[in-house]
Amino acid sequence: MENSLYAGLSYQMALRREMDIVSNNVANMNTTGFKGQRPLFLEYLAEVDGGGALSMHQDALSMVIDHGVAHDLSQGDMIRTGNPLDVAVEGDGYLVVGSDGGPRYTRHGKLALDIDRRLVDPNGLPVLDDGDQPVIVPAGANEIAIRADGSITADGLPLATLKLVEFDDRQELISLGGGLYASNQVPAEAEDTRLVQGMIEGSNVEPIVEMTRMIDVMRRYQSAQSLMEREDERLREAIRRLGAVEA
Amino acid sequence: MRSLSIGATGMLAQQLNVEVLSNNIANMTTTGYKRQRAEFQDLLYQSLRRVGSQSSDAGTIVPAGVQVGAGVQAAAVYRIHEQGNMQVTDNPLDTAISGRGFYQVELPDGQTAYTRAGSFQLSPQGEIVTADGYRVVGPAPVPDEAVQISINESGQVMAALDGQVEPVDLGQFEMASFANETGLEAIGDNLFLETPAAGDVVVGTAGQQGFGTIKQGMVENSNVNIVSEITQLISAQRAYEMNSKVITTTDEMMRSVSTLR
Repeated sequence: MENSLYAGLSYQMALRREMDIVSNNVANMNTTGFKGQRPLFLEYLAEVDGGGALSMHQDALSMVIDHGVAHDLSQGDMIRTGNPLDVAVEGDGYLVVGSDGGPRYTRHGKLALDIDRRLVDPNGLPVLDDGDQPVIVPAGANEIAIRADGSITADGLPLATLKLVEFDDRQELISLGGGLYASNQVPAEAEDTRLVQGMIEGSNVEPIVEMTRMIDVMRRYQSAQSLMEREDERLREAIRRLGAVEA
Repeated sequence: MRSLSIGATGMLAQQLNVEVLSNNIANMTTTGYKRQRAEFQDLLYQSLRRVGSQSSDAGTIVPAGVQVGAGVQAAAVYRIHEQGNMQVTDNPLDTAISGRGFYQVELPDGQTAYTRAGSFQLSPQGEIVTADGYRVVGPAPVPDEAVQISINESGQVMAALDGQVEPVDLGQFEMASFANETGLEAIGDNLFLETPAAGDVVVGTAGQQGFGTIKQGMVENSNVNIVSEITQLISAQRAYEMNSKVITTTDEMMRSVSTLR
């Protein structure tokens, strides 16, 4: 049986997945509100058949499968931009934006105004207030201030309060790209989350850690490779020796 | 392998970042220039094992699925309209805006553009014009016999005429302001055009509610902070290098596969 080949193969496939995740982290090193990811691996035991009477104890073959991806949920660096419509989310909460498919959650606080003077996220989706309505900035408003609790004032007059939510299990959020997340959970009102105007939350990827992980992945991949090469060699040798017919 | 193309999206993004930073650095001493910032967002994700899907008949669900991202994309390159530093020039037609607001400029095609670069000149007809000779909306032409022009904080232009005690009031600069200045479209030459994203133009005069004041004999320098640009340039370059390292590492892994018999 070429079981050791398959064990090595499962290892290599898992490492490739890990490399994909590491490279996505590196590519998003400067992405606003990005949360780094880590693969989770599981041991998968495959029954080895064909041992029968020959083997004293029936062993299972241990393989690896990728089981999940965990998000690193630590706070990203705060970067000052000085733009009044930039807000950084500090804490575990999320801003809520409306989409055709229901509410989406984001920490990408680079907001802007659209044609209808609604406050929108970088994908053009309206940011919702505590009554689940888009925030419309009145025409002629000059100075927009966003306070830590999410309340917005236009020229000193109260306008709306941005909805801030949090989740019991943030790992369960589904990343949709564009800084958006979807969830099947019912979000609760965020408690220890504040907004900071004029700042944005940078990516929480640590480039040096990612680089070392990448080197590590490559070396492990190569060692799996050499394992397979040796196994190939062993089989070849076995066939050559056992199959040799004495003259 | 995905990581090859993911590394490529990262390199493209950092290239854009360096381009934006280099434009900021090149315009470090441009009057009225507002710095730009490149903004990125993560590309779509591919779910290989869906989070929240059922993992058994008993109703247990997958707590964390396998979602692999496809890299990074540019979300926006936007302009930050912070006040620039004031520089004294003592030129009577240099008028810096301290606070919010833009001067309105008549383009040759009849459109109105907006600028904060208040280093004005006089045309042969005595009109107050920009460095490109476009008329600034507001004050009447300055008479030939004017010996001194003074502009007060609310943008009123007064000309002292030869042999006259009372200065002549030539009118006020007409200012414009927008709720979302970031939404303005830059057309070069320090000029901006209005867009739906910027919001409706609010016309007024300097010193009114929501408008800054005008400082004669000063210009507003660019708001580029050179130290922050250089540090960002260093970090962009390193990010570019790391993304290229991702590609070489992937290449190495693929090479080791191709040597397998």
